[in-house]
Amino acid sequence: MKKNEILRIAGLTKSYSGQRVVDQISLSIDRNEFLTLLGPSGCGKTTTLRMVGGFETPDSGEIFYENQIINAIPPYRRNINTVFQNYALFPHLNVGDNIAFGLRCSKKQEKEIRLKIGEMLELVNLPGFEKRSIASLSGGQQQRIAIARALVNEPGLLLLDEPLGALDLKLRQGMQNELKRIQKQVGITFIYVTHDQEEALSMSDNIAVMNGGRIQQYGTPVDIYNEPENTFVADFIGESNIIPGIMKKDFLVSLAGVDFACVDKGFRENENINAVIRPEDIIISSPDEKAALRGKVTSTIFRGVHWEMTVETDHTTWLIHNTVQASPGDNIGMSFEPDAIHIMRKDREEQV
Amino acid sequence: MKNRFNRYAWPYALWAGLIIVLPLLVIVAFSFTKDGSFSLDGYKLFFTPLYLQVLFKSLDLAVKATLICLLVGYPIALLISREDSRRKNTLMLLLMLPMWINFLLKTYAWRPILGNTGLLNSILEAIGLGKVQFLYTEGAVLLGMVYNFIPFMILPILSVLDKMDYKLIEAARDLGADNRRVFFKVILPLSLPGIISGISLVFMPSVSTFIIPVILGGGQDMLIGNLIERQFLKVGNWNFGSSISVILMLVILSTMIILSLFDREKRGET
Repeated sequence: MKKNEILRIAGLTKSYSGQRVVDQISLSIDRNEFLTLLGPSGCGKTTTLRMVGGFETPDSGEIFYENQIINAIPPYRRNINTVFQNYALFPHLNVGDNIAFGLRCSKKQEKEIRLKIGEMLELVNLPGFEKRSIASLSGGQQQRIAIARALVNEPGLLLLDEPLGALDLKLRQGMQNELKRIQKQVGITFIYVTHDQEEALSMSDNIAVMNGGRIQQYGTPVDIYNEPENTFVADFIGESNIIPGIMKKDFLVSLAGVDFACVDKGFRENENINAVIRPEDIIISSPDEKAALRGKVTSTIFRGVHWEMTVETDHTTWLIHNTVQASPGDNIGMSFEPDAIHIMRKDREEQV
Repeated sequence: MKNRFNRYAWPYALWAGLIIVLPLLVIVAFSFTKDGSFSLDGYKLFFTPLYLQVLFKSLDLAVKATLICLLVGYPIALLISREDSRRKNTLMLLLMLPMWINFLLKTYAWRPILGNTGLLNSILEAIGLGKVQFLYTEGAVLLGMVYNFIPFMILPILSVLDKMDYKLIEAARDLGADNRRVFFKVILPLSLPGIISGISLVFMPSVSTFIIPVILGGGQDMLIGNLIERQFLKVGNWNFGSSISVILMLVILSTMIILSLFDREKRGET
């Protein structure tokens, strides 16, 4: 038992009509942590969150909050609040009364409530909005009110279910910074559910990548991006070239028939592995003898920050991101640094 | 756009003019005449204790019937709205089924149930409780109203509850509201539009019905609907009948205005 732990999930399982949506999930979350459950739709992330919130009952497994099993405790008695996907603000109440809802449930003094509403509106940058009706707010403003309504109860844990999903790109990026700031300021543990890897990478302290009801990898954003444990994670987080290969010995891997120096060791001799090479880590050169691999550019797309190119070699197709442009039909050489190659064990393959 | 709307609207305008507005005007005209010349006699006659009592009796029964429909209908609507869609459809069908049967027939069917030698009294006698006078009482009239009009209360409430975002209920529970609070602070206020249309749909036919008191009340309690019917069909005083009709319309109209004000005020408060 870690001293700083606020929530622990052990072997959580949930099925809907025979379909296992959440399959033996275990997790531990520390106080003040920002944890993200990241995965494609249907991966079980929202169901996991709803079980923590108390809206679904697990088939098996335990949820410990502050070291107490809370499986059977109804949502209204959990010291946990939720920011819902489409905000779920009460349309018949104004902004102030929406925020006050939780405080009135716990029979706080009206004077204290007024004070707290003001504080919360300051926190979410909407001071003076008490009397506004919900219908008069923009999507971004509704989002902030939903956060204020949950945070005003000073929960031990805040659950956020794809809270930025309905906002447009620019607003979403602004709200990412805002959320992070709010979390730091109030010092409350956040569990954040999203399918957007960029959101997850930029906000989280830790990420649990989920697929098929299971956690595929748990770690910091840097670890998850740089050292994906299996092809699912490599593919889902950022873009990647996944190349099957053979680990010849420590620090030497054979990919596409060519030997490369790498930084990994501890594999069996000639163990079959998959290697991940990020598109931005591939170095383009002229197709001469010095290039490790040679291929022909088949397409070039302008992406703003960089050019995205696909290159055919004898073995496979490569995705390359580079600020230097090569045109379709060009023959180019490719190479990469040893630390650009991330080796994944085959036995860590996606667990479904 | 506007022109096209007008073109397609004129058959309705014609219909409404001939079938609704014209007869209404005729009734209003009749209500202000006596023997072919202008007169307020119809209204003067109505505002005497005898007839005012009939109006109050009608209002009293209609309010009671509406309240019973609301208190019984709301839980039914709530229960149906929580069923899955297949059971919901079955229950709604059961709710509508009686509406396919002729109104008179349905009301008459209560007589062999409530009568002195009827089903209910036979049962009561058999278990030794003795006869009770059910038929030809105010209670029987109320029963007839509730029985006939309760679907008009349930359906609009059900349709509002059905469309309610379930996430709102979850949000309330999440914020610490127990079931009681969820109901009174979220479900009930959000279903107010359904309640208000339900009230109007039940109150209107209840206050003006004349068949139910005749069949189940035995004509003992004269209601305003009976009064109008009698003026037209038995007494032959069309002018007085028209005056009462206009008053009844004004009563209903003001009820609707009060209800809609209440609805708007509730919304304006937010």
